[in-house]
Amino acid sequence: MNSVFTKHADVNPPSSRRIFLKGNVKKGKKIGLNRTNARTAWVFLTPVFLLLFTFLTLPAINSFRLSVSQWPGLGPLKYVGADNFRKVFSEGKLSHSVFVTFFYSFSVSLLVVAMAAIMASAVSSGIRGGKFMKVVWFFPGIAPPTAVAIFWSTSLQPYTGIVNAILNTIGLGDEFAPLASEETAIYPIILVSVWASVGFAFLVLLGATESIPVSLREAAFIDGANVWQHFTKITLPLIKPVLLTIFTLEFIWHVNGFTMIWAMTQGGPGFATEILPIYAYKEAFVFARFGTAAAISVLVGIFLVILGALSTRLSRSGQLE
Amino acid sequence: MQKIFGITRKKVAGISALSLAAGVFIAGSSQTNANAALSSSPVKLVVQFETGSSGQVIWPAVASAFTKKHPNVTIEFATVTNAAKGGSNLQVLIADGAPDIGLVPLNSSVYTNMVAGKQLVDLSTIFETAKLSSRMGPPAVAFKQADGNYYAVPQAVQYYNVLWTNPGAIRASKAVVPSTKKFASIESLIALTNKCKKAGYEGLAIGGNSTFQVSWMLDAMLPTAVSASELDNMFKNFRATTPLTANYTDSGFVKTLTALQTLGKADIYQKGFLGQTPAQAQALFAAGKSCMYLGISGDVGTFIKAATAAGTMNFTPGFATLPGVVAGTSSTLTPFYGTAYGVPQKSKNQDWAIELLKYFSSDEGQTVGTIKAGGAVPISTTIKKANLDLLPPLVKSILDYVKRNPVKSGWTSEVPGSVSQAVINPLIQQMLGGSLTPAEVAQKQQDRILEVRKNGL
Repeated sequence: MNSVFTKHADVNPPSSRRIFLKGNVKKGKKIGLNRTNARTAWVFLTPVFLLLFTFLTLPAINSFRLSVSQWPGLGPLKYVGADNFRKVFSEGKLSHSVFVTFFYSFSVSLLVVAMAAIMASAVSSGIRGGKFMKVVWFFPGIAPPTAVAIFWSTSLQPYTGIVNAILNTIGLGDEFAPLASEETAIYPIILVSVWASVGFAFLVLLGATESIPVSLREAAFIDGANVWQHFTKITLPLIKPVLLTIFTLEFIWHVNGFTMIWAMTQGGPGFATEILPIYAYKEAFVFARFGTAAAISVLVGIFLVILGALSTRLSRSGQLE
Repeated sequence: MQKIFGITRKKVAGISALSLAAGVFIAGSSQTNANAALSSSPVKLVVQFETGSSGQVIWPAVASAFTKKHPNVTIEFATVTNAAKGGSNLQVLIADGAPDIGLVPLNSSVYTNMVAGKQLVDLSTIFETAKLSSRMGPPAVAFKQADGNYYAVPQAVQYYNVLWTNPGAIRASKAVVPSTKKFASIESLIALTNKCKKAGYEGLAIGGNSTFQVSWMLDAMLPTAVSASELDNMFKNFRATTPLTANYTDSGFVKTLTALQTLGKADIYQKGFLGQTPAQAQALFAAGKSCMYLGISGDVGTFIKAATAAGTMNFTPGFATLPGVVAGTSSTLTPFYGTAYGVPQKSKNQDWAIELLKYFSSDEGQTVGTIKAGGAVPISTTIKKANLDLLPPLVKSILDYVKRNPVKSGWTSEVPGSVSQAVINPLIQQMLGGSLTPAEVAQKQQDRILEVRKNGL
């Protein structure tokens, strides 16, 4: 956008007929746009703003309104101030749910980014069968999450699941039941989430990797860099901003994740896999406490906005470097 | 001429005749109006039921019979999942596009909130004029709300905590189910499952990761550990208006939880049961790999019928009941009338919806739907014996058992889910997983009751 505005500014008539928009390239610098172009820009931007207002701002306002109200799912809202937030913090379930959510989201995001970076680097370096892998690795990402969850939860059943059948053939027995234990239930969910998410991250990182100038790679190899050095000293630093963006996106998506865990364990056994969205869902639709559910959602929303802003700043500083 | 209040007898007779005529006219008019509401113009009704439940076979049969009687009516179906029926379905039922007949489980917050918010149409005419109340008998009392009205009509009587048994597997395990169908003690149940495991079968299959099944066992066993008055108080003491005379930290409730823990520690369930759904547990049982499955009488018309038809289940199950908490006592089957339907205020065809529910709950409708299609126990006690004989033999044997062994209601069937099942089920899962003690579970349940008594549902 900035380059378009700048381009127009270069060819535009005298400043008296220009409208100045604040750009974000350099602090305080204004980018000019003539009246006709500004009008055109607003015509194109208005539907976007309307959509954002309808589907983002209004629900956000409504969530906040609900978070300071008591509401069982029907009837008028009853204003209760910060009671719902107080309740959420005092009940003791929040800290457990926050821990599970962060453990799950961080683990999935880290593994997805790490695996995707390795896979992208491998394919980009011209590994044999690269084109085939591009398609195959993206497949799990296309499958509906509910189907993926049901497939894997069935596969992980003792005696009958395919995972146990494989374990049995290599002499490890067929009684492996990770979803049945509070201590282990989160791990298969993390692995399945990675399996389902890595394809998208791989494609984006592949694009970033392939945009690295060939001359840089060649220079590195001429200088005697091995594959590992090339990956750590050339590829990773150059795709760092994209890596950070993908990590942030994956983290946000999994903090908001619901389907995979709900379909695999419904947050159980007990509360072992109850991430924040499941906690909020149960508050609203099992206990009919929509106010506390909204309070949880508002807290998560605020955290994710801060995280997004931080990530954008880090990513930008990475780009400037 | 004799006068009454100064009016001649002839005039009195005339006024009386006129009054009578006017009365007849008015009555006739109101009858005409009632019929006008059920006019012959085309009507489309939308009926909601739970996917995979007996409602899925009962409703199409009832709809077919009803539309034959009323050719102007067409009936379409909407489904709701087990997970949504007691929660998010509330938003569906209060929306403008609400179905004409909606599923409102009696022990759910959906029903409680809709009644409190006056979002359901009064169905007293079905209970009183169509005499459903007297045809159902005492269980109808639970349907009458504080305002004297009725808002939901049950579909069938489901008996919970039926221990379906696989006679072949039990025989092969050299084990025996008591001829009384009652396990004398927890130890005798453990002994049977141990024999099964030794013979290569799983013991008791159960959908441990569901939001309900581990708490069914509490329902069955609790009445054997508490007195009738304590149980009655537990059914009602979530309301602040009921004195709290039975606490969940009292010995009876804790003993029941301890019994469940003992069963869990004795490994009576299938391997990995806390990670399995009821459907996965059913599949295990149907495939002949477990000696028992914890189910309900309605399974006969749903999964047992389907698995038998598909050839994945090639035996006829028997049944037994869970042991009591104290040796020598025995649990009973727990009846549940709570799969019920109401007419949302947002229904655009309320009169026809009531008419359909009236037919659904009539002896004829129950025979067509609940008995013939669903293979389930009807709610009406006045159904002809010849029609009851149409029930599958397994269901008939359960009914015979119930006649000889009076049933007791389950705690989670009577108390709203947000105070009972939704609270206790994950806690029992934690207890079976080893992270909570029975006393801790009891304390958390007590805390929840105290919170609800203080703040309301």
